Amino acid sequence: MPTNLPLPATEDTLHTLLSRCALGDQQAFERLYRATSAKLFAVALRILRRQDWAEEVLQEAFINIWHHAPAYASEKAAPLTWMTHIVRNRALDWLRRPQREDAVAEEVQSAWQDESAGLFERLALARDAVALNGCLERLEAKQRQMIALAFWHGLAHSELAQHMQQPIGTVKTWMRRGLMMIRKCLEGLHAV
Amino acid sequence: MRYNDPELQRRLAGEYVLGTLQGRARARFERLLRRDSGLREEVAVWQEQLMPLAAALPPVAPPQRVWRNIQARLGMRAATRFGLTFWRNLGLLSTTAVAALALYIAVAPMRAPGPAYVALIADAQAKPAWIVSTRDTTLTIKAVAARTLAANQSLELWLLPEGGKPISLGLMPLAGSKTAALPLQVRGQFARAHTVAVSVEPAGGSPTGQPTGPVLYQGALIVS
Repeated sequence: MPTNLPLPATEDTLHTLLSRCALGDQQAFERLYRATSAKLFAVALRILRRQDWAEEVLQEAFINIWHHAPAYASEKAAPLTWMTHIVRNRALDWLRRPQREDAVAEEVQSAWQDESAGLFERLALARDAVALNGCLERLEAKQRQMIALAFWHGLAHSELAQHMQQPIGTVKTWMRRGLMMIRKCLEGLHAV
Repeated sequence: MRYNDPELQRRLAGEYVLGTLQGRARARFERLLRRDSGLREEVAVWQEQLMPLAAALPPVAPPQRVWRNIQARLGMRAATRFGLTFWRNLGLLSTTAVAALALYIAVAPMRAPGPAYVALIADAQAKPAWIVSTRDTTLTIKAVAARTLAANQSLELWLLPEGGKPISLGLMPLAGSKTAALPLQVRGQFARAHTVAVSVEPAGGSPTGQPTGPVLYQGALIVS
């Protein structure tokens, strides 16, 4: 591969590339990889926090994408949404595998806090996230924080409870309400 | 838990997509997901709604070795897609496919004089896709499930004799089955082959007599 720079790719071209992958077109697969791997690697890296794990998960995810490309046609999700879901699923499985040895270190916990601020700023600028960002901003700060920590860093309820120093039941309730408010808010936007 | 409660379904789908649904609950949810299209619909909505969060993450280019490893693990070769190594590297059939093949052999009529061959060709999900069989001077290709293909493409079947070039066995039916005559000299090559493979070709088949497009499927050839 001559370059790792992502090529400008619309959902349309990703769609075409995926359907060519379904027919076994290896060049299309390489173009798909080039167009999306940096975005997807960022997703895995943020959740796993270890370069070697993130590389392994990205490999497995792309192998999965190749094998499941024929089934993608029946998916309703946009290509990048579908691929992001595959990467996140793999990363979360990896993170929560039973033999995982280490507890989350304190410096990691403070890194979550620091990074989230910057990510929220980027989110506000992301063209793809205008509606979602608008709805997130209507939530209480703690709810917004929890949803972001869960999505970006793969935190579980128990980790969120520890990190936010709240009982797990409270965290679950906040989370549930936060998600439902986002749904309502986004559906309201679409209805207009 | 009452999984048919729409409120609960919506909430679980949201937590599943976000990633906070875990452990046994996550595994149970994924099992339900496979057979419940309403639940899949909920998940799709949440995916569209929450995945834009990923747009906030600054892209990070993975090292070159990641792509090389993916290629290696999928048995892909960058430039020499149809080199001899590729043909030698044809993978093994999955256990399911082998079991299905064993069953086919067990129930297939055994009256044919001389060696008859059978191969089960599995698709990318390791599900049986075609059964190829020979008897005397005929070749039969049966599509296990109907497939679709672009109008300007055909699937071509190849016999891969050891140490020799691939030999065309004709085009694959996309549905139903087809029977074709097997020329004597082609029949003779079956004894030297262990594998058949299917490649994507321009409509009507390879213009060169050798595979020109990517190989989609393959199957082990067995004397039945």
